[in-house]
Amino acid sequence: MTEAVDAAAAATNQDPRVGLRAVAALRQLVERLEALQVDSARRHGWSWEEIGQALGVSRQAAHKKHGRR
Amino acid sequence: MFERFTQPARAVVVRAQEEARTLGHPWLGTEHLLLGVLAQPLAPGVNVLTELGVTLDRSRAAVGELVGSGGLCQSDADALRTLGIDLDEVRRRVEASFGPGALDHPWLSLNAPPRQPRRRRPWRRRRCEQGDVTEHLPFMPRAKRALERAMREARAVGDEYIGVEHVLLGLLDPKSNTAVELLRHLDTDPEVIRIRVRTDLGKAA
Repeated sequence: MTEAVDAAAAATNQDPRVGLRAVAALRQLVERLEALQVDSARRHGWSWEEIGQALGVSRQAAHKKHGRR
Repeated sequence: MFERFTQPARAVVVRAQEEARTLGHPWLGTEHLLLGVLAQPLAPGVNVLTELGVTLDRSRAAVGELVGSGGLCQSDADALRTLGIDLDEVRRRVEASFGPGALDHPWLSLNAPPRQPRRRRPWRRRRCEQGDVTEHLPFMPRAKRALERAMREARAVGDEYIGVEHVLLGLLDPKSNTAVELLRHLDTDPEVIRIRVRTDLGKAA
Protein backbone atom coordinates (compact mmCIF):
# COMPACT_ATOMS: atom_id res chain seq x y z
CA MET A 1 0.00 0.00 0.00
CA THR A 2 2.68 2.47 0.97
CA GLU A 3 4.50 1.51 -2.24
CA ALA A 4 1.48 2.43 -4.31
CA VAL A 5 1.24 5.73 -2.47
CA ASP A 6 4.94 6.39 -3.01
CA ALA A 7 4.70 5.55 -6.68
CA ALA A 8 1.72 7.81 -7.08
CA ALA A 9 3.66 10.56 -5.34
CA ALA A 10 6.58 9.99 -7.71
CA ALA A 11 4.34 10.17 -10.74
CA THR A 12 3.14 13.58 -9.69
CA ASN A 13 6.58 14.72 -8.62
CA GLN A 14 7.80 17.27 -11.10
CA ASP A 15 11.24 17.73 -9.60
CA PRO A 16 13.78 16.59 -12.21
CA ARG A 17 16.34 15.89 -9.49
CA VAL A 18 14.14 13.19 -8.00
CA GLY A 19 13.28 11.75 -11.39
CA LEU A 20 16.84 11.72 -12.67
CA ARG A 21 18.18 10.25 -9.47
CA ALA A 22 15.67 7.43 -9.79
CA VAL A 23 16.73 6.80 -13.39
CA ALA A 24 20.38 6.66 -12.33
CA ALA A 25 19.61 4.14 -9.58
CA LEU A 26 17.49 2.08 -11.94
CA ARG A 27 20.29 2.01 -14.51
CA GLN A 28 22.74 0.91 -11.85
CA LEU A 29 20.35 -1.87 -10.84
CA VAL A 30 19.85 -2.96 -14.44
CA GLU A 31 23.59 -3.06 -15.11
CA ARG A 32 24.15 -5.21 -12.07
CA LEU A 33 21.36 -7.60 -12.91
CA GLU A 34 22.69 -7.85 -16.46
CA ALA A 35 26.20 -8.63 -15.23
CA LEU A 36 24.89 -11.32 -12.88
CA GLN A 37 22.76 -12.96 -15.54
CA VAL A 38 25.47 -12.85 -18.20
CA ASP A 39 27.99 -14.41 -15.82
CA SER A 40 25.47 -17.08 -14.94
CA ALA A 41 24.71 -17.77 -18.61
CA ARG A 42 28.43 -18.14 -19.33
CA ARG A 43 28.75 -20.59 -16.47
CA HIS A 44 25.88 -22.54 -17.99
CA GLY A 45 27.82 -22.72 -21.22
CA TRP A 46 25.90 -20.17 -23.24
CA SER A 47 27.69 -18.68 -26.23
CA TRP A 48 28.03 -14.93 -26.72
CA GLU A 49 25.76 -15.35 -29.72
CA GLU A 50 22.99 -16.77 -27.51
CA ILE A 51 23.53 -14.19 -24.78
CA GLY A 52 23.45 -11.34 -27.30
CA GLN A 53 20.27 -12.70 -28.80
CA ALA A 54 18.55 -12.95 -25.43
CA LEU A 55 19.62 -9.42 -24.51
CA GLY A 56 18.63 -8.05 -27.89
CA VAL A 57 22.14 -6.97 -28.82
CA SER A 58 24.80 -8.33 -31.14
CA ARG A 59 27.22 -11.10 -30.15
CA GLN A 60 30.05 -8.56 -30.40
CA ALA A 61 28.28 -6.02 -28.20
CA ALA A 62 27.64 -8.61 -25.50
CA HIS A 63 31.23 -9.83 -25.57
CA LYS A 64 32.69 -6.32 -25.62
CA LYS A 65 30.69 -5.33 -22.56
CA HIS A 66 31.05 -8.50 -20.49
CA GLY A 67 33.91 -10.49 -21.97
CA ARG A 68 36.62 -9.13 -19.73
CA ARG A 69 35.00 -9.40 -16.35
CA MET B 1 52.66 13.86 -10.01
CA PHE B 2 53.49 13.88 -6.31
CA GLU B 3 56.95 15.48 -6.47
CA ARG B 4 55.80 18.80 -5.07
CA PHE B 5 53.52 17.28 -2.43
CA THR B 6 54.57 17.91 1.17
CA GLN B 7 55.08 14.91 3.44
CA PRO B 8 51.67 15.38 5.13
CA ALA B 9 50.00 15.72 1.71
CA ARG B 10 51.61 12.46 0.62
CA ALA B 11 50.43 10.92 3.88
CA VAL B 12 46.88 11.97 2.90
CA VAL B 13 47.10 9.90 -0.29
CA VAL B 14 48.64 6.92 1.51
CA ARG B 15 45.99 7.08 4.21
CA ALA B 16 43.27 7.41 1.57
CA GLN B 17 44.45 4.11 0.07
CA GLU B 18 44.34 2.46 3.48
CA GLU B 19 40.85 3.80 4.20
CA ALA B 20 39.61 2.55 0.83
CA ARG B 21 41.01 -0.91 1.49
CA THR B 22 39.53 -1.03 4.97
CA LEU B 23 36.13 -0.17 3.48
CA GLY B 24 36.62 -2.92 0.93
CA HIS B 25 36.60 -0.47 -1.96
CA PRO B 26 38.73 -1.45 -4.94
CA TRP B 27 39.08 2.18 -6.07
CA LEU B 28 40.41 5.45 -4.69
CA GLY B 29 37.83 8.20 -4.66
CA THR B 30 37.41 11.72 -3.32
CA GLU B 31 35.64 10.26 -0.28
CA HIS B 32 38.83 8.40 0.66
CA LEU B 33 40.98 11.47 0.06
CA LEU B 34 38.72 13.41 2.42
CA LEU B 35 39.25 10.75 5.08
CA GLY B 36 42.98 11.06 4.44
CA VAL B 37 42.75 14.81 4.99
CA LEU B 38 40.79 14.34 8.22
CA ALA B 39 43.49 12.00 9.50
CA GLN B 40 45.74 15.11 9.62
CA PRO B 41 43.75 17.30 12.03
CA LEU B 42 46.71 19.57 12.70
CA ALA B 43 47.35 20.44 9.06
CA PRO B 44 46.34 23.95 7.99
CA GLY B 45 42.71 24.30 6.95
CA VAL B 46 41.59 21.00 8.45
CA ASN B 47 40.47 22.73 11.67
CA VAL B 48 37.63 24.28 9.67
CA LEU B 49 36.23 20.79 9.16
CA THR B 50 36.72 19.64 12.73
CA GLU B 51 35.13 22.83 14.08
CA LEU B 52 32.03 22.01 12.03
CA GLY B 53 31.93 18.55 13.55
CA VAL B 54 33.32 16.80 10.49
CA THR B 55 35.55 14.25 12.15
CA LEU B 56 37.28 11.19 10.80
CA ASP B 57 34.91 8.81 12.59
CA ARG B 58 31.73 10.56 11.50
CA SER B 59 32.96 10.84 7.94
CA ARG B 60 33.98 7.22 7.77
CA ALA B 61 30.51 6.22 8.92
CA ALA B 62 29.02 8.57 6.32
CA VAL B 63 31.07 6.95 3.55
CA GLY B 64 29.61 3.64 4.65
CA GLU B 65 26.09 5.06 4.39
CA LEU B 66 26.57 6.97 1.15
CA VAL B 67 28.77 4.63 -0.81
CA GLY B 68 28.25 1.36 1.01
CA SER B 69 30.20 -1.48 -0.46
CA GLY B 70 30.25 0.33 -3.77
CA GLY B 71 27.00 -1.28 -4.76
CA LEU B 72 23.54 0.13 -4.52
CA CYS B 73 23.35 2.30 -1.42
CA GLN B 74 20.54 3.68 0.70
CA SER B 75 20.11 6.73 -1.51
CA ASP B 76 19.71 4.42 -4.53
CA ALA B 77 17.11 2.46 -2.58
CA ASP B 78 15.23 5.71 -1.78
CA ALA B 79 15.38 6.78 -5.41
CA LEU B 80 14.08 3.41 -6.62
CA ARG B 81 11.25 3.59 -4.11
CA THR B 82 9.95 6.68 -5.93
CA LEU B 83 9.42 4.35 -8.90
CA GLY B 84 7.70 1.78 -6.72
CA ILE B 85 10.69 -0.56 -6.73
CA ASP B 86 11.56 -2.19 -3.44
CA LEU B 87 15.32 -2.70 -3.62
CA ASP B 88 15.31 -4.93 -0.55
CA GLU B 89 12.90 -7.27 -2.26
CA VAL B 90 14.97 -7.25 -5.47
CA ARG B 91 18.06 -7.98 -3.41
CA ARG B 92 16.30 -10.81 -1.58
CA ARG B 93 15.29 -12.49 -4.84
CA VAL B 94 18.69 -12.02 -6.46
CA GLU B 95 20.43 -13.45 -3.42
CA ALA B 96 18.05 -16.42 -3.45
CA SER B 97 19.40 -17.27 -6.91
CA PHE B 98 22.97 -16.07 -6.75
CA GLY B 99 23.96 -16.15 -3.11
CA PRO B 100 24.46 -13.55 -0.38
CA GLY B 101 25.85 -10.21 -1.47
CA ALA B 102 25.41 -11.04 -5.15
CA LEU B 103 23.81 -7.73 -6.03
CA ASP B 104 26.39 -5.70 -4.15
CA HIS B 105 29.57 -7.27 -5.36
CA PRO B 106 31.91 -4.35 -6.10
CA TRP B 107 33.26 -5.75 -9.36
CA LEU B 108 29.82 -6.01 -10.81
CA SER B 109 29.50 -2.29 -11.08
CA LEU B 110 30.35 -0.87 -14.45
CA ASN B 111 31.14 2.33 -12.61
CA ALA B 112 33.97 0.51 -10.95
CA PRO B 113 37.39 1.46 -12.21
CA PRO B 114 38.69 -0.46 -15.19
CA ARG B 115 40.99 -3.34 -14.51
CA GLN B 116 44.67 -2.65 -14.32
CA PRO B 117 46.39 -3.67 -17.53
CA ARG B 118 47.63 -7.22 -17.38
CA ARG B 119 51.23 -7.49 -16.35
CA ARG B 120 53.56 -8.83 -18.99
CA ARG B 121 55.18 -11.38 -16.79
CA PRO B 122 53.37 -14.58 -17.56
CA TRP B 123 56.00 -16.71 -15.86
CA ARG B 124 55.39 -15.07 -12.54
CA ARG B 125 52.48 -16.31 -10.53
CA ARG B 126 50.18 -13.77 -9.06
CA ARG B 127 50.88 -13.43 -5.40
CA CYS B 128 47.37 -12.75 -4.27
CA GLU B 129 44.03 -13.43 -5.87
CA GLN B 130 42.44 -10.38 -4.29
CA GLY B 131 45.07 -8.02 -5.59
CA ASP B 132 48.47 -7.19 -4.24
CA VAL B 133 48.32 -5.07 -1.09
CA THR B 134 51.28 -2.99 -2.18
CA GLU B 135 49.61 -2.24 -5.47
CA HIS B 136 48.05 1.20 -5.76
CA LEU B 137 44.32 1.37 -6.09
CA PRO B 138 43.21 3.08 -9.29
CA PHE B 139 42.21 6.72 -8.88
CA MET B 140 38.67 7.55 -9.85
CA PRO B 141 38.42 10.43 -12.35
CA ARG B 142 37.05 12.86 -9.74
CA ALA B 143 39.89 12.00 -7.36
CA LYS B 144 42.40 12.69 -10.08
CA ARG B 145 40.61 15.92 -10.83
CA ALA B 146 40.71 16.87 -7.12
CA LEU B 147 44.50 16.47 -7.07
CA GLU B 148 44.83 18.53 -10.24
CA ARG B 149 42.66 21.16 -8.62
CA ALA B 150 44.95 21.01 -5.56
CA MET B 151 47.90 21.86 -7.77
CA ARG B 152 46.01 24.77 -9.30
CA GLU B 153 44.98 25.99 -5.84
CA ALA B 154 48.63 26.02 -4.80
CA ARG B 155 49.72 27.80 -7.95
CA ALA B 156 46.94 30.37 -7.58
CA VAL B 157 48.29 31.54 -4.21
CA GLY B 158 51.91 31.27 -5.32
CA ASP B 159 52.81 28.25 -3.17
CA GLU B 160 55.65 26.14 -4.53
CA TYR B 161 54.48 23.06 -2.67
CA ILE B 162 51.18 21.21 -2.50
CA GLY B 163 50.02 20.79 1.08
CA VAL B 164 47.07 19.20 2.85
CA GLU B 165 45.24 22.55 2.66
CA HIS B 166 45.47 22.55 -1.13
CA VAL B 167 44.26 18.96 -1.33
CA LEU B 168 41.30 19.94 0.84
CA LEU B 169 40.50 22.89 -1.43
CA GLY B 170 40.91 20.61 -4.43
CA LEU B 171 38.34 18.23 -2.97
CA LEU B 172 35.80 21.05 -2.52
CA ASP B 173 34.92 20.93 -6.19
CA PRO B 174 32.03 23.18 -7.28
CA LYS B 175 31.20 20.49 -9.85
CA SER B 176 30.57 18.18 -6.88
CA ASN B 177 32.01 14.78 -6.11
CA THR B 178 31.49 12.17 -3.44
CA ALA B 179 33.53 14.15 -0.87
CA VAL B 180 31.29 17.17 -1.43
CA GLU B 181 28.17 15.01 -1.18
CA LEU B 182 29.54 13.56 2.02
CA LEU B 183 30.06 17.01 3.55
CA ARG B 184 26.48 17.91 2.62
CA HIS B 185 25.33 14.65 4.17
CA LEU B 186 27.02 15.79 7.41
CA ASP B 187 24.94 19.00 7.27
CA THR B 188 27.75 21.29 6.23
CA ASP B 189 27.97 23.59 3.25
CA PRO B 190 31.04 22.82 1.12
CA GLU B 191 30.96 26.35 -0.30
CA VAL B 192 31.15 27.84 3.21
CA ILE B 193 34.01 25.48 4.08
CA ARG B 194 35.92 26.54 0.99
CA ILE B 195 35.54 30.22 1.84
CA ARG B 196 36.55 29.64 5.47
CA VAL B 197 39.61 27.60 4.53
CA ARG B 198 40.72 30.25 2.04
CA THR B 199 40.22 33.01 4.62
CA ASP B 200 42.16 31.08 7.28
CA LEU B 201 45.04 30.46 4.92
CA GLY B 202 45.05 34.10 3.87
CA LYS B 203 45.34 35.15 7.53
CA ALA B 204 48.14 32.70 8.23
CA ALA B 205 50.16 33.90 5.24
